[in-house]
Parts: sequence; structure tokens; C-alpha cells
Amino acid sequence: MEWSIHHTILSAALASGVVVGYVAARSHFCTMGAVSDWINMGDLGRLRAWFLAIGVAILGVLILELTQGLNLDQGVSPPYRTSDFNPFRHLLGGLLFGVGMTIAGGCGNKTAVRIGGGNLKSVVVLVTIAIVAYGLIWLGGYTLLFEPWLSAATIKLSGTQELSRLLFGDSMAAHLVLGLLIAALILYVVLKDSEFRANRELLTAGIVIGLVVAFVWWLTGSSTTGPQWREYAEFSDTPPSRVATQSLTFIAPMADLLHYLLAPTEFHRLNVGIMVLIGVILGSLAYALLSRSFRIEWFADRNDFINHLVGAVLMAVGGVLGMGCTFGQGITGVSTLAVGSFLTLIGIIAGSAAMMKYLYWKMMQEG
Amino acid sequence: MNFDRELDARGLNCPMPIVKTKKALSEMSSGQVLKVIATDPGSVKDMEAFAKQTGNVLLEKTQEGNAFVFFIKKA
Repeated sequence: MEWSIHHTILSAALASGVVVGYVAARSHFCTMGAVSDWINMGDLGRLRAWFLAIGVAILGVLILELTQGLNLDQGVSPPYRTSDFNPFRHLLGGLLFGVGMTIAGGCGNKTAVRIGGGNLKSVVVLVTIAIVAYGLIWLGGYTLLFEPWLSAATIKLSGTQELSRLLFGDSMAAHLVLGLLIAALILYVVLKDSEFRANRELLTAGIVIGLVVAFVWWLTGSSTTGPQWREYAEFSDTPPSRVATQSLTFIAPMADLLHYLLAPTEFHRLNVGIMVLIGVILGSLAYALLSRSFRIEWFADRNDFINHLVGAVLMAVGGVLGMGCTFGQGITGVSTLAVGSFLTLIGIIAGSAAMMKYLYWKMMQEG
Repeated sequence: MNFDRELDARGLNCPMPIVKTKKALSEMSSGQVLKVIATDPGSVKDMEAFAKQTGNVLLEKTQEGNAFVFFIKKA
């Protein structure tokens, strides 16, 4: 086997995952934890870190679009800026995902981070998400169960659903100005808190995760690497999976991982998403071993097991409907300024916050 | 350390240890001490942040085997 651009990209994706996994484990970065801290104790530290990552990723994408030939209007997986805009799908998917991650102990990325730290409950969550998402994505479950009634809410746009295009029409200048304004506003709100600025771990996590999202966009979609990678795929006897412009996301890669494991000698099934997922687990494992914090964890009781299963199913369904998770839409998607990504992000935070409130209310009712 | 109530949150992941701690403290009087036992590694930072944000006092945190033990005095 000859080393190719494809192998370079997969290796870089793995390394990107390792960085994210290590940093997330070290800093306690967690999107569900961010909502929990906000709702349960009024602490905005981790929410600021999440939005810092969003702000950095938006800035990174703008720079790449301007200087590196990154084109997010076509050839993107998933198609964040698709002209088939379905707000209902994004909101419903986000809500389901938000509820699911709250009862399953974390989002897709956190599940991978927990596995690296020795949490076997998260292995069950990952396997469940992989099976359900595999059924929806690879076996036609989405087309059979959801598309017939969800498609009624689809709005056919004349162009992409990128925010500035919807507001001001096709103008690169408007896109850049609006993107800069949004990023600047996010960074101002996040960084104006002196306590957050002094929290080096969360500050680093937000910046590094945002930069890694931008890096994987560059890796898969810049004019330096993208055309060469696509040409390699075009002339391959067995074209590799998902050769498209993309960045960090976790639900579809879990389904893709199962797809690969069903035929492990078919290496063309390995893709960027799978490599990032495996990288996050390895990065978190490295941190757990170096900090001697690796510990095996298992379910507390039957209810805990059922909660994790239900949460995993909701995350899988919500992740497919919303076209991404807290990373896939909540950072990567939002960095494209696609309106659907903002809706999924709002849905995720609302679903998680509502579930937090419900859990507390239910506990108070039970006495 | 003396305590008035004990909460066993072993085996539970975020957010449940915090939600249960919040509920337990809501049923206690000012000055009383709650002992919380958790196994989620994230609970260490969670409890520190919870105490800081809510004004309750984290009197002590220790590790006993695989478990983290916290003593929280209600404000």
C-alpha cells in the first residue's frame, strides 16, 4: 500500500481527535456540563468555553474562506448550508439531542472522552448510538420513518441557508462582515468576564477546540488539500468513505464506525469522522493515564442503565434529525453560519435545560 | 467530620450528583452539614463550582478508594 493524501488526511484527523480528547478531559470541557452548571448553579464558565470555541471556529472559517479557498456551499458533509431548509427538523433534532445527552451523562464527544477515562457506561452509550444511527443513516431508517412527514416542513430556498445570504443576498463582503460581527460579539461576551479569563484550562479548551474545528475544515476543504484528496478518491478502485469538506462531528461517525466494524478489512470505510472519534478516545485515555485518573465505572443500578440507553437512543435520533450534535452543529455547523445550525444549537440547549429542570422537579416531587 | 445527612451518589454521572446535592441541601437548615459520596471524576470540579456559586461552604473533600467524599455546610 502506497502512502497517499488520503492517509495523510486520516492521520491528521486522528491527531486532531487526540488533541480534542486530551484537552477536553484535562479541562473538564463538556457541553452538557455547561448547561448543567448554568441551570443548576448559575455558573457560566463552561458555557463561555463552548461559545469561545464557536467564536474561534467562526473566525477560523472566515479566514479560510478568504485565504485558503474553503467553499462551504457545496461538497460539504453534512450539507450545513443546504438550500432545503427545514427549521422544524433542526429544532426537533436539537431538542431530542439535548434531552438525550442530559440523561446519558454527556454528548457524543463527552461519551468518547468518558470512554477514554474508563467509563464503561459510555461504551454502552456509544454502542447504542452507533446501532440506532446506523439504522437511520445506513439502513434507510430516516427515509422510512422520518422523511415522509418531516419533508412537509422543508422550505426550498433559491440559494444556501447561510445567514448573510438570507439577509443580504449573495455577497462575500456581507458574509465576511456579518461573520466578523457575530464572532466579535461572541468573543466580547465570553471574554468580558475576568474570572473566565483567569481560568486557563477552560480558556485553553475553548481556543484549542475552536482552532481544531477550523484546522479540520482546512484539512478537508482547502485549495491545498481538498482537490488532491477528491482526485485520489475519484481514481481509487474502492473510493474511500465520505471524501468531502467536513469538520468535527460525532453521531454519524459512530454509525460509520459500526459500518466499518461489520467489515473490518474494508479499510476504505474508515473516514475522517471515525478517526477523530477514535482520536478523542485515545487523547482522553492518554490524559487519564498521565494524570492517574483512569478508573473503571459501571452503572449504579437498573434505572441508571435504562436512563443511559434511552438517552443514547434520543441522541442518535436527535443527532440524525438535527444533522449533528453539540460539536457537529453546535460548533462546526455554527461556524458555517448556516441558520439550521443555529436552530439545532438552540434546540440542544433548550432540550437539555428543560430536562435539567424536569429532573430536579421530579426529584422534589418524589420527596 | 460530623455531618447531619449523607447522600450516596456513587455510580451516578453529571448532572445527577449536583441535582441530588441541590435537592438534599434544600431540605436542610442553615449550618447543617451534608456528606456527599460520588465516584464521577467530574464531581470534584462540579462540587467546588457548586459551593462557590451557591454560597454553601465546601468544608472538606477527600478521596477514599474509588470514591470522592465531600462535606458541604449549608449557608
